[in-house]
Amino acid sequence: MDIFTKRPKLRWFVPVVFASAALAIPLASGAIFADDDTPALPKKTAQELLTDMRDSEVDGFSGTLVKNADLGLPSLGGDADFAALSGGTHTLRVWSAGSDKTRVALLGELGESDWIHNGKDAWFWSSEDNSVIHEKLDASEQPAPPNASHTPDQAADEVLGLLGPNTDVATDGTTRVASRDAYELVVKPRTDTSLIGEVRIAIDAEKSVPLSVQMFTKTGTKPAFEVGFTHIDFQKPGDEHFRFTPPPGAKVSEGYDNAGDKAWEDMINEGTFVGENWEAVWVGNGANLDEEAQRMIRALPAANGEWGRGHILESKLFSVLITDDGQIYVGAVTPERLYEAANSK
Amino acid sequence: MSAVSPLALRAPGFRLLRSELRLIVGRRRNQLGLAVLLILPIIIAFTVKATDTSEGGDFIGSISGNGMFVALAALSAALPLFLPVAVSAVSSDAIAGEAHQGTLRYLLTVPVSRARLLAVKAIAVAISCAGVTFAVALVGLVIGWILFPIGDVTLLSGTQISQGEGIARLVGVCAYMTLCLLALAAIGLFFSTLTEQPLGGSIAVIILAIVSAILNEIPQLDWLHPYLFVHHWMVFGDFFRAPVLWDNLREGALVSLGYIVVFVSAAWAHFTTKDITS
Repeated sequence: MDIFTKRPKLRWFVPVVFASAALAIPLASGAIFADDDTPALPKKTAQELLTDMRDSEVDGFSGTLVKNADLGLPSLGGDADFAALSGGTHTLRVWSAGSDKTRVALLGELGESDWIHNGKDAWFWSSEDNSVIHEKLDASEQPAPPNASHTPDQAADEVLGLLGPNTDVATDGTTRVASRDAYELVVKPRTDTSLIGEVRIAIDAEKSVPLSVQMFTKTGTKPAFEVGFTHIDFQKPGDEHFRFTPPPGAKVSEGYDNAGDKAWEDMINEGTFVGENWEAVWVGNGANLDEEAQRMIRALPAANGEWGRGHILESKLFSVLITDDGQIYVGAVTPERLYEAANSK
Repeated sequence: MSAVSPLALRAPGFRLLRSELRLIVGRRRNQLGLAVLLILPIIIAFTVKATDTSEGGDFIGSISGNGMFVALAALSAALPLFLPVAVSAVSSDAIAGEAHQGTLRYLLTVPVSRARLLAVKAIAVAISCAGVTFAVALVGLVIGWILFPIGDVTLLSGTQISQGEGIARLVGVCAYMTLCLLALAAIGLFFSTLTEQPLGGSIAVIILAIVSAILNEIPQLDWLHPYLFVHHWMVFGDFFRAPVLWDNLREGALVSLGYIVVFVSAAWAHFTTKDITS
């Protein structure tokens, strides 16, 4: 006679044990890539890490990465739209096999946008619009995906481009990202006007490539922006991942043909920088912005000073000042620094 | 000792299961529910045909390229509410329905252990879950192929696969959805042992599903999300990426299995020990 027959109420132990066992299994919510592990790795200085990173050579890789942006701005667009990458949480799959073979897929719920660069062709596919944009490239041309700094690698490059005399660079132990051992490099601007408190870069212990980049503000304990792999495979992905033929029925257009985007692009290219590194402020002429943009600007809080009158947009990681005479100032700095830049104009 | 063939031993179980399924299919309420679910793909197919849509999310935009997507569009439309309602009705009827009609105590006089009776009920509910999911897909497939082209299937990633592989992936979607619905059915079966009112159990299951869906939308509770049974439901679309993205599907299957094991065992613990008075 077994115990469950003798003491029937003990049967309740079975579901309780199952429930506790189930709850003990840790589940990643998809938005988390690092765990609390601190693997034991041979010590390395910050300088050694930077050198290793510069000299690292990887033929190719594929993986899944997660991007979280918490800039304190409203999210724009749907979740499978590259424009939406400015806010919220997004999952991307990337395949890379050398400098002329890249595929980035932005995953939405029941939707996907893909950007494929294969030799002399660049394709942009949107499942939602059922549309394809094709661009013919010159052999030397290196096209940029629709939204900058997609991978930890690119984000790290941008951060390391800011290293200068007013920067502290240090190692901060080890971590695990995408189930791989990694060193952690901490980059800290030494200036009062920067909004960035510190940037943490996790560098793969074996391959010396960045696995995640997290930007913290001076006050926040959670990163305002982070991008990191949840899974990475350093095997060179096969050619089938970069082959693309527009599916029948899709709207295919040759080259980007968007006057609005072109106007933005021209404006960005004509701008100049004031200041250096962490204190850099981009200055451009926004007199030609369309009516919709103007309306958005007028809805922002007003500001004034020696430089005149205008409107200010403050987020956790960057500030934007638009003066009434059409000048735009943008930087990862406090509004005061923008006013200073406007004064010196 | 006389030799008894294993088939004969299991025969009463099979007979029970057959009568159980006949009971589920025979219920006028279930027939109506199934009819509503099966009309859904037909409505979707004719709407797309009439409006000549070639864009839009949730697989709607893909229908004009391949009729198979009617099945997927119907499944994704039915998953948030229609399918859970159907599953909650059938699962919470399993024990509570008998208790409500006063037939439970007669059923228990049959020389079959309560555990086995519950197992038969659970299997019948599981077959219904799979049946309703595959039926929606099948009707979608048939109406889709009548009204729209058959041929290569364009994935969410923009690449194409053969029609055969497309069907295989559709079967994968149905199997995954069935597993997700079984988690809900297990909860329904447990509630069914607690109450004598099948409708009460069914409403409780639907409320639970709705509350989970709401909690899943609150970003501040993101630590809780992966444990909610609804959290991974919509990732069935990952079957239609190139290549299939297994990460979320695997986790969704794991979470569903967790709910099934916990609630079926809880139903067993309660049903085999409670006093039956009706």
